[in-house]
Amino acid sequence: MTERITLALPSKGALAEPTTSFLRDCGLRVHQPNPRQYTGTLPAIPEFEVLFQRVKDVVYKVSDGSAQLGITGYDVVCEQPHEDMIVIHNRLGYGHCQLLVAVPEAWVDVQNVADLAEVALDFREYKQRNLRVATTYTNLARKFLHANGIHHFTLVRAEGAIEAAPTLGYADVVVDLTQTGTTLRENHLRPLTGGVIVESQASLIGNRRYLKNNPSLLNAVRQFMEYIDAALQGKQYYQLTVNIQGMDAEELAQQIISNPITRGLQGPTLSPIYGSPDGKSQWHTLTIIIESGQMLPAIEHLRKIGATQTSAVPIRYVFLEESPTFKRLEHLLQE
Amino acid sequence: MSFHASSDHHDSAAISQFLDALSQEMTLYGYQIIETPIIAPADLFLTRAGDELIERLFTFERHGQQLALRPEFTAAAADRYNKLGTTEVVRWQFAGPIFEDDSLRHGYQHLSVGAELLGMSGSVADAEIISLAVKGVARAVPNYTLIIGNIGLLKHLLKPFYLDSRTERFLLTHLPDLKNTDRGIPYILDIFDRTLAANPDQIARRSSSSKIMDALDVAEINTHQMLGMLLDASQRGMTMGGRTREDIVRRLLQKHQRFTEREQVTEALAFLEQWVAIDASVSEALPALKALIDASDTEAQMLFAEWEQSIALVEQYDISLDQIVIRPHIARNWDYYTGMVFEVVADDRTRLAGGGRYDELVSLIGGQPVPAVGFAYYIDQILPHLPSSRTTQKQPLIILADDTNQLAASQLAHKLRQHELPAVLLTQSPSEQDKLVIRIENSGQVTFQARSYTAAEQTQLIADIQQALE
Repeated sequence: MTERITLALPSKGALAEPTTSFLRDCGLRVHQPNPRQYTGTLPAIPEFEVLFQRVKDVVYKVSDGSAQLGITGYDVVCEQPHEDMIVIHNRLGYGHCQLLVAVPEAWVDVQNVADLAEVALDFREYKQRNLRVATTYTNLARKFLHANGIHHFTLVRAEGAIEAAPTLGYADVVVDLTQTGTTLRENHLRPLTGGVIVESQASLIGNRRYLKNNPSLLNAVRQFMEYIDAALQGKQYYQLTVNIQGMDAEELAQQIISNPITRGLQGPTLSPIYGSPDGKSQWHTLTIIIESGQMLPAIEHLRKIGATQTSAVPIRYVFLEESPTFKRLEHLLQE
Repeated sequence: MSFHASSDHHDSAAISQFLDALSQEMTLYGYQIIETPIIAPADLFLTRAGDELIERLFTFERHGQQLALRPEFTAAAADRYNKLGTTEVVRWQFAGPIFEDDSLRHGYQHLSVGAELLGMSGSVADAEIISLAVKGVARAVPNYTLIIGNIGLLKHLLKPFYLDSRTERFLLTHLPDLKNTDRGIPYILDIFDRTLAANPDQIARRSSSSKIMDALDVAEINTHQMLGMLLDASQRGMTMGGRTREDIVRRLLQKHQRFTEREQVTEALAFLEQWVAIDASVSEALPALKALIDASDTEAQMLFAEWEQSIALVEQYDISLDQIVIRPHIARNWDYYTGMVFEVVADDRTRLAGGGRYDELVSLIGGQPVPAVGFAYYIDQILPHLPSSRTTQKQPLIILADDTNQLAASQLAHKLRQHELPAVLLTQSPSEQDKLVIRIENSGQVTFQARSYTAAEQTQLIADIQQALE
């Protein structure tokens, strides 16, 4: 039997669908023969098999080595650290959310964490009980509260509908994930200033021990990371194709380069257009890569130096000299 | 990574000798050896522990209960006293591992030795604890410095400023900033304004409700009415957690009150600035401190006299005044201590021992108020200073026991140990050449240092071994 790499992916929840579409955009379509089964394959890399797990279980599977790679939220990674689990990439660019402390909106006297610390003391002094905090992130919550001088609290462990706990009366405040804050608002809760515990997004994790002891499989791992890096890099750029007027190509190139936005990755490519209508002026086609956010400034500059029509295409992949993520992995494995 | 930092840097004979000496010294003072549980409910240690300690408390959960590995002995002593239900004076000494969750800096486990004197107030008890701590340190570090402060006196002197307990605690924890020229009073006031005090105008401005903004224009509106409006259920929903509207109003008013009483906070800070500036020898510091105390404040005069008396008593224990520094603001855990506090430090300022009076702890963990004072040695800090042990242990004799002579070898080893001669059994010759080795021949004869002994000559053999070990 040939050695295989198990990649654990979220099976349900907010990260499940975005993860398979992210991989598809990377050119790594996930093939799941039967939607009711928990396994699948990555046809692009035959050495990989896919295991669908809940986000928390992705962390457990990678930590204990039954999966060697996994994609899950950075929040659950921080909640359950493990010495064999390494974070290879913590900004895959989707699944953004925050783990934060939220209090009832009616607590107008509580704006920041220092206020909450005082309220916790009030609970003890006037009500002879601890501040109750509903959360599923008990490790991160405990650490954060202690680090902010809040020592007298009881963690109310709850699965799901945490936001409802203060309304139902079995907790005073919550430590919970939020994407837009809508659910918090609907439950009359408000994020505390300075109360963000983790800024999270989808992350790639791996089992250090396994990856270190199986160098023969690293080539397949490298391919996987090449696809991901190239797609993430690609998202940052657009390719412009521009018709531009000018007699001397070299002079034109200098004008284009004079603005850093239109310098491109290496420099502009210019090719002459033959058979211009008036037969006198010379036209060129410019091909250039620009950063996504710089589209309009780039076009403004090109117009100034004689551009007429410009078409823009998003770039799917940019392959650099080497995969930075794989480089980081190699570094992590050496530690 | 070391799991037992204490044993790293010294020979174990010197350590156990030192620990024995500490224990004997405490026994001479009448301190009884007590064991406390290593695992206890975390609440016991959280009750009055300082922030620094809590962050490093080694906690875990079992069956829904938050437990902790003991970080010190004092809370356990208070708990024990409480459970005994006594009002008698007790003197307890402790020795054993304490724990912190800080593997990177110091390791998880440390050795601690300490003493607690419960049920006794006054300068005699204070001086006894100080002298006991100094005696132990002096065995390893004769050039120690004893720093004495008094949190109880300072807290009393803050009373005329009518600060609420939170403000008082806030000012006390920021005392080091008063000595920092870059910070000082403006820095502390700035934090005070941002955290403890609040102007209700600011609170209302944070609210988006135009109704409240309109109400604020009516200058004469009653604060209570305004707060009632702020908390209008129709605007904020019914979600309250475990607090009532009254709780929120009370706290808003308190913050507002702190804002209006900012003047007193400023005055208190001006007083504290003078107080912390005094940091000198006994003969210099005590008169300077006395000058800052209002002569008509009889309670302050009494507290000061008691403190002065305990320092005078400390001198009776052969502790030179030259080695004492009075630092009235010495920063030990403000929540814990209620009176005299002290530290014993080395030349390089590392803390070797520390303690003080903690009269409120027993009542805080659910008992009657009990006067109490105690200290602990920071053994890890003392060990590097320890002179190596003077008496070297007797080198054990090695008896070679192979398959043929196990019986004879065991008998001989037993015999030697009966004569208090250390004997070790090995199945093959040790690699080190300088060991004293006894061989048992097949004939039953014993060879020691090139001489053979028959069974009848065993008395001679023992005499020769004793001589060889001299």
